[in-house]
Amino acid sequence: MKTKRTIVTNRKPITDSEILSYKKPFSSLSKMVNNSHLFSGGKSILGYGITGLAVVAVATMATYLLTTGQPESKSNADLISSATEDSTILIAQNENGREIKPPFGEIISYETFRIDNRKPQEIKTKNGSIIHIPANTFVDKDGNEVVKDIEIRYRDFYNPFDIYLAGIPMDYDSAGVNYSFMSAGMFQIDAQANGNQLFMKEGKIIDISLVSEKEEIYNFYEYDTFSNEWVYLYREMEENLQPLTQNKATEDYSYSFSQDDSVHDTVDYNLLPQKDYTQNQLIRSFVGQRKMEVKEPESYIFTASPEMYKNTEYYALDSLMLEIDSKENFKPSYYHVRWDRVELAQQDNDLLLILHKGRTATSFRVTPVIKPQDYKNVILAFNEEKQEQATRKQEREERRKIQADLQEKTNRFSTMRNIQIGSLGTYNCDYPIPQPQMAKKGALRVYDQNQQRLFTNEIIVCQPNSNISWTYNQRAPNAYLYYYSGNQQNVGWFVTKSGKLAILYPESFDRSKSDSCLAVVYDSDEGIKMLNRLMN
Amino acid sequence: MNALSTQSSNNDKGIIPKQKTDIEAEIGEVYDRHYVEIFRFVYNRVDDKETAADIVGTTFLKALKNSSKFTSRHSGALKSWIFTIASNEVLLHFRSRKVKAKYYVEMEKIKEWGQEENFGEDSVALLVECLEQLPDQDYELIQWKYFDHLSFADIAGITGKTEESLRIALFRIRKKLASTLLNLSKSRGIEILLAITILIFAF
Repeated sequence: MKTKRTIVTNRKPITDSEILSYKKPFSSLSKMVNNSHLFSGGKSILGYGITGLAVVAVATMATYLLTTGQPESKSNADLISSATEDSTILIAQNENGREIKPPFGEIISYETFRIDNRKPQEIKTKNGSIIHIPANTFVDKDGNEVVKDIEIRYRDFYNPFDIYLAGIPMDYDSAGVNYSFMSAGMFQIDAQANGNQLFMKEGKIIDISLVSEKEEIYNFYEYDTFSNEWVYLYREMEENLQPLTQNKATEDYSYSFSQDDSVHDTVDYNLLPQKDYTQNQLIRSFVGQRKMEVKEPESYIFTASPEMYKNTEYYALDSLMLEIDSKENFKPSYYHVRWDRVELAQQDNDLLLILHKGRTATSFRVTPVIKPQDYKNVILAFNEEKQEQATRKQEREERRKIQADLQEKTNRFSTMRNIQIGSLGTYNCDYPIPQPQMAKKGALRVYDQNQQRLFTNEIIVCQPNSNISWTYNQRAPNAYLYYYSGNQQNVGWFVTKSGKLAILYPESFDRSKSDSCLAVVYDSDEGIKMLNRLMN
Repeated sequence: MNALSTQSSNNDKGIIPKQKTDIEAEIGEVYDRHYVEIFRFVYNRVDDKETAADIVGTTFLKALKNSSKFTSRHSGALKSWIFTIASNEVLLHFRSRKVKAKYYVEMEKIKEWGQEENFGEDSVALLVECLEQLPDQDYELIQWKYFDHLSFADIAGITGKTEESLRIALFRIRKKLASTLLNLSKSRGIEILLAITILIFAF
């Protein structure tokens, strides 16, 4: 293959002192500059023509930017040029950026995952997105690696109202043209340790497979919280989009619950039977689980080997004594039988000793004989286990619910978008859409259900089916000019001056006249519920 | 060792020169603090030390000459601006001579990048061959980051791209490079050093 350049690896390295031997005093350079004629002739005193350098510089920058699509990222910003005579540097200047500010507080909840920074992690979110985090990714503000108590917070958005509730701006005005983003999936990710913000170590990359409803190629943006603007990162490539089959998502998701789920929790624990037999002597014990060692045949008390009771509530005890309740049925000859198998089993609230020989099995109800202190310990262990079992049961219920939700959601998601990020923040697979030219013009004034005039700073209009929203600011004091689709369903909303949520229902658009339209005003909680229904 | 990042200071960040004398003083500070790094940056691209010294001198002269037009409000922009001028001067140098770009990379730096003690000369040659075939902008990123040891902030200043997009671009280039390396080694029947591939994939 033809090479594009030559790389030489055998040149003798140059030392710092050798380099410094070429360094002239800076004052001598300043003096040269003051002799401006040195530059006016188009050739420098150092023998390098500068004519045409402007072309080279601009062409170099333009080539680099165009090949990477960078100019699109600045389409919402004024590009100002700081031009020298020979080169041009493009600087993005944000004029109209808005910071992320939820209108009603943090309503859109985060999913939280606790991770160990020392190991690579794979996190599966409730929507089915997968986050791959390499080991040793997170550092504190001083650049020190953080190992323990790391919480990853993640949330993703798939409709314009959720994005609005999160306070993330989705519109911008460029050269008088109103643009908005049509999202194929947006997410926010951050990390904390003990309440302190964490950062990604330089060079670390988190891979995210983001579930998406869209199958087309989109651009990928990051929200720059410093300049409060969306920054273009790259255009997606086809190989980074994978079709998502319903079954696969569900199966994959189930793998994320790999914690020990084998402990049964079907036993309904009740208080243990209690007897204080501290005065009794230990008289028998099973030897190797198979034979009783007889010491005092008449007492019917024996010790059980730990193997026998390890699966019962008494597992916490170092040793366990049992007394046979149904003494009338117990034959002393049993002491001498070499049983095939001896076991303890729980049946309702009873504990049974079962002796197996051949095909026959003989069972006796037994009562644990426990010292008071041991009994307290057992109860304590019991309660802890009971609590854990209840927690596990609740977790399983939640899991079943999530899986059911996921099954429903996988019907929505058709694609997995593979994304890499090098820092935490807000990201978006999007496409900027200019305001439709053929849209219908909305009303200038808005009234509520009581015919009272409503005032706001901005109105949001969206077409739920196309997953895009438009934000319209006041055109004149308390007068609005918004547009809506003539052939799709429209929904609109805004926050009133009194902090309530006003909804423009689809019918409001159809019935609106040229100068007025109806919005229904709700308290924020109720309004959010109503809009969620409309959006879904 | 990343000489640039260790020597950079906040003094050349966030400069918003208003007076010509102010910016001249700031350029002087960059000259004093970063002469060695800028010299190495140029010297890695030209044949001899004298040419490198001339280009560095011209770079600072042009910076001074155009200082009044430097109005950037970005942090660290002045140093990046001077690197941009130096880079353009090198391009002009090649263009005026109508020769293919040439880069000088110390063998030790490639081995250091490889982080492999037994990174033999055959392996270096194979890796160099792959690097020679990379598209220009891809190779420039590799050169800036790993052989010139520029920080992402400096490269962002030169290219006008964000640090985030540079990190991602670099990640993809390394993956592509690893794939090329693997294919090339297979086609040559050379047993690839697994470590090379891993290092390129790994961060």
